[in-house]
Amino acid sequence: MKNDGSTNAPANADAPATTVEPTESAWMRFWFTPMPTTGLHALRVLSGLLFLAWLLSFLGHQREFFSLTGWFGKEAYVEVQRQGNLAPAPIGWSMLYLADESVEMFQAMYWGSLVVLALFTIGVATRITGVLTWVIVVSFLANPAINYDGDYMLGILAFYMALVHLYVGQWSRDLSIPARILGSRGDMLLANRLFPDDAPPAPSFAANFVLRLMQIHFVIIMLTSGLHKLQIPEWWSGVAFWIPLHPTFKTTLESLERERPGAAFTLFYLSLAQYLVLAWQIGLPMFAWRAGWWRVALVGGAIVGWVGGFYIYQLPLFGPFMVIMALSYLTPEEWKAVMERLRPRASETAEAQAVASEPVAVGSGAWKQGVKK
Amino acid sequence: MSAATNPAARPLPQSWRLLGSVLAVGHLALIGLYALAAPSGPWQFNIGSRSGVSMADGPAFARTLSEHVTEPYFLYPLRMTHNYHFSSDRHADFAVYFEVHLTKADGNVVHRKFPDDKANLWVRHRQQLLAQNLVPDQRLPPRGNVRLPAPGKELPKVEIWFRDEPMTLRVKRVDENDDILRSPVVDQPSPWAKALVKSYLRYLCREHNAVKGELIRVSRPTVHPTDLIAPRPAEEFKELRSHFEEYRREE
Repeated sequence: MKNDGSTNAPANADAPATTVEPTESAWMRFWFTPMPTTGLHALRVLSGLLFLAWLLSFLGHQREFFSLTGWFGKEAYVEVQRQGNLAPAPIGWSMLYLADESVEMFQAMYWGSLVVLALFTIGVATRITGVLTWVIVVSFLANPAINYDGDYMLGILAFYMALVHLYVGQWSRDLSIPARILGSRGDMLLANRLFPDDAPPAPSFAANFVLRLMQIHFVIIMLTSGLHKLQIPEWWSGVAFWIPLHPTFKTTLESLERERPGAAFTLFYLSLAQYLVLAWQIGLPMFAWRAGWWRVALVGGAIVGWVGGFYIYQLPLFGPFMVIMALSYLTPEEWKAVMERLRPRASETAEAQAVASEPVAVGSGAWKQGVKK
Repeated sequence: MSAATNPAARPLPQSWRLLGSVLAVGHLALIGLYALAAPSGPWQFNIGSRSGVSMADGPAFARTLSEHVTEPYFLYPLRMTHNYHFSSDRHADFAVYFEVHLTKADGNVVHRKFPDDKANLWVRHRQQLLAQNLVPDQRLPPRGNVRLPAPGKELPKVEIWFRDEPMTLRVKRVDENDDILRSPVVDQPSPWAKALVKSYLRYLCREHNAVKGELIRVSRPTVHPTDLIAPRPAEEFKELRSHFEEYRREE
């Protein structure tokens, strides 16, 4: 939290981005500085794409995975609850229970869910689709036979996305009644091209507040997970990566014999990599809010974690979740720098003017210089 | 995202800021408390003549608040009941896949294997999660005195894993007073695994119009780096086949 005091201070005197008094405490500045919603929109699009990819991955198998006529059927739910909830994780509520054993109703819910997730991703009626997205994500956690830790992380992401879109602009913008209920059309993807005459949105208190909640929640997750790993012998001794890299049914005494001469070398590098992961997780609170090259450690570490986690553990959800959460720490200025790089060259001049006229909330000049290189 | 200049946000009243502070601290504290309340370990313990390894409970204040307040009234409705002690960090003691044999009314038998090698990565991952839920088994507690049935009643049977040939286990129902239960190590399938097997076979029998189905769990102890230095006996690199109870479709 080192730079929170300056995070959203205006970059120049003409930029009325904030209403924070310089005398306010660091606490108030941290939580209650209004911020532009550029980063929030990017996070929404990335989260929406992740939710869509997750739900689409079940395509063709959705009924067997989630319906009450599937792998874990209605009788199983009743039996498991009757015996005192045998499931390893609590079985919670789900909108899918409403379909009961009707396959048609279940399929309508699945396809309807995909439509809602797509609408949320592109920013249509985000106040409504945001809440529905959370309901959908949580509902598809209901099968205790096949869900895993990564699914729960999506629930957390969906919760904060729903929360922020419910409140963003309600205080700081002069909205029409439909916009208060459905959400601003400025949330839509490419809104600046679709509605070029619309006034730009005022910075939002809700965007900053909820992103701060996300950031601290992510720190709690990573810190707890890192400390928990240290209680596991394989993590302490540095061989945690070795085991999933040697699938039991494919590993034989002969293959181990062949590997033996280079074992010391392999274990040295695997244990080093593993302790770098632990250092990233446990050290996260110390560098997550720092600007400059620490951003490379933050976002780069999450990306390396994604690739490594997928390669070693074959877990498809943790990585993208970590990257999105790591991106939530970027300041508005850093988002602006990222957007500048992503914009097509053809519209560079016009967009540059737009960027220049928007208020800038300062994170660190070092980051900006770094990105522009 | 626009060419015009952003207007300034209206100042937020102090009362809202205080309310927001309380909500933020409360929300995050409850999440932190839930993570703190999780059991940790396993730790070595040595109390008097007893020793071994055991999980340690979280601190009493965190457990009490989590059990009675945080979980039922806040985290459970929000479906945030994860304590961030990820199960994927802890390696399973056994690697598992399973086979299913479905018998149709005409006597034809359909064989399936899960995870299905032909399925895509995401589906295979879910199938693997189902397979992994079939372990571990449950160890029976030591038996006490001989039990007598209530007048006019029979003693309940106990389901155990019974080794009827090398590397093959079958579920067998034995009397409460059977001598086999006095062996030091007697395992039985966990109630959770049994519920899963029954549910899955019910589903497959319905889908394939089969009259009965059998699920065979194939497992092997997970390979460990110590096997590089001092390999375990070759026997431990063989697959153990455990036949769950047959499911018959009722119609």
